[in-house]
Amino acid sequence: MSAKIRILHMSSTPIVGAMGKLSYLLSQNGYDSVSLVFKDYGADSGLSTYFLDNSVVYDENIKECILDYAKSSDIIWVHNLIPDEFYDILGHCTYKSKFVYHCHSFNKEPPLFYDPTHIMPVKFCKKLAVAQFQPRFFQDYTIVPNIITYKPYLKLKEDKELLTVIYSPSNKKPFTKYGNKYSSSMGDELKFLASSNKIRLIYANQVRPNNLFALRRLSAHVTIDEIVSGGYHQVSLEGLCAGNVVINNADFFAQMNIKQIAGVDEMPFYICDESNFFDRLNALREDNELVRRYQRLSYDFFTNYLSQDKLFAYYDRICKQVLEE
Amino acid sequence: MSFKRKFHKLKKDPKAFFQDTKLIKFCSTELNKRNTNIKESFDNLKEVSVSESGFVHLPDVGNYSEHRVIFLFDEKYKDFMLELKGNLLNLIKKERIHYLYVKEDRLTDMDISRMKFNNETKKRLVNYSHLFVVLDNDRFSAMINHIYHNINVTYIRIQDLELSINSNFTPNTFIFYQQEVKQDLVCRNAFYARDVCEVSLYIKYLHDVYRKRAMDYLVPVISSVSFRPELLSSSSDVLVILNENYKFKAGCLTHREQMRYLAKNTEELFVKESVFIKYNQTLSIKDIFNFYCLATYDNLKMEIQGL
Repeated sequence: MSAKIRILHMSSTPIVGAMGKLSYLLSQNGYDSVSLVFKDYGADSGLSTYFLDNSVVYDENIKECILDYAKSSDIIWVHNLIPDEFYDILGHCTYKSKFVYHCHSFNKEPPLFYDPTHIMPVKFCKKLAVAQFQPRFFQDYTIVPNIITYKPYLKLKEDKELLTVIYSPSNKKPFTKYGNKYSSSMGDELKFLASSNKIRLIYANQVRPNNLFALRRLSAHVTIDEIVSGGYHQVSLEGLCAGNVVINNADFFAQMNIKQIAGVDEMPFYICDESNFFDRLNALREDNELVRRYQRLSYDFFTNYLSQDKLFAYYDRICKQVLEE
Repeated sequence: MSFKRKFHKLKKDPKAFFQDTKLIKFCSTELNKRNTNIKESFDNLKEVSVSESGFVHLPDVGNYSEHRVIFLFDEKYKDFMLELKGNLLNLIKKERIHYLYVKEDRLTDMDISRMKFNNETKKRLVNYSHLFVVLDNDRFSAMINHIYHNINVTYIRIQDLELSINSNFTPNTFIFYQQEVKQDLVCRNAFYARDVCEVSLYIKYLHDVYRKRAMDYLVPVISSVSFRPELLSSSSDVLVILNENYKFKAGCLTHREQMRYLAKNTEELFVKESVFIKYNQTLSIKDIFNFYCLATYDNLKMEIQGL
């Protein structure tokens, strides 16, 4: 029996669980993988402990253990930026290890932008960028999907039910164009529709991720991501998984990235912008068949193209490419 | 009584028409129904002016300068309008009429649903300060207004233009497009265009004359035609038309690989003039692949057609 391929993932923060989920997916499918977070989100963020399900948080007690693991790792997988302490770990890695860099959401966009791999003291043999807006800036990075580990679910809207919309903007004060997830006009329109009992609005703020998905899955028919940046986010993928109509404003290039991964020509997103959001949401509200059609499209798309086995196959190919280099 | 019939009453006996407040209320309600976006208050109205030609113009209402109240009447009503001037202000304030647009030649075709008592009428009469382009129809108005938004181009029918000139509105320049024009209008620094392409050229020229900001419309980089007027309705910085072979490419690709594939399948490419200037190094040698990489990095607004 051959030894499992060993991978150490490292990041400063939990990256809202993305790194842990990838590590979990690989572990579930024959790899030996550990996700190491330098520091959890602070208590003032309201996100503390929310995204640590599949990760360990670094401290002095596990330093030796992590060093040993790093030394025997086939792949050291660096996510976003890592603190100086982790460079020490990288320094202990043997010649055997291959280095992969994985870019998630980043606090800098052009023109205030730099490629972080240029300041890291290792040579990466593969660079990856999440298949959202990031590839526009990290143009030589291979495009990879974010992972949803929830089980897909479909609960079609019944005629008598009020259209239930879930909206959970995590960021109202954008520091970058693509970091913006909030539209005041959309917020006002949602409040208006909710206050006049035209829709039921679940405005979820700082809800635990598992609970948020439960709300999406069990209560909502529509998931709103954001409609201002031209991109899409993890929320959209979770909406697809929950069998919701997914509202975003993903442009050609944002859609292209996920279409490339899925190998499809069409995305089931219900595209809206600020100018037509109200009308488009009303169209949904007035047409149960339309809601159900998009719910089915979302569910089918997720099960066909974004299920764990499909995404594992994608990452497995990446890992093999890395090891063959 | 239908709206059309009510306006026949105006035609027949205008004085009685305006004295009939119920009638006015009905008409204004009908009009306002179609202009639900206009919600300004008329409380601050102080005066109303009536020109010699019967062109009634109310000054700005508070901060809502774009919602001026315009009454446009045919010349035959001018005496009557002047006579009513005092009462008109009260009438407008009381009934909150936004505008009425009544012309002799329209009364026979007063199907309000097809009449555009909307932004077009409003814009035409409010943004009078600079260029007027006279068209034989209004199909390009939205398009050109969008593209030339930075130099205040206004489209106007020739009869409305004459009326506005007679009402002391003095536009700087006119561009006539496939129109029979009167000699006295031609004298006023006017251009005569045979097609939309020439309209664009004249606007560009006039822009240079008036030293406004740069014109910025889509120009072809790769195209079998030198100009496609219908594409000017695009609000994008870049317009890409893909060939029929294009399909999304699957696999572990990078953005650059995607852009190379996109470039390979580009049938036509139009970019705004400013974009052309900025990326001249790549576009002048038709290096579409590198242009796409730069354009996506710089977040240009790109529209992709032909999928």
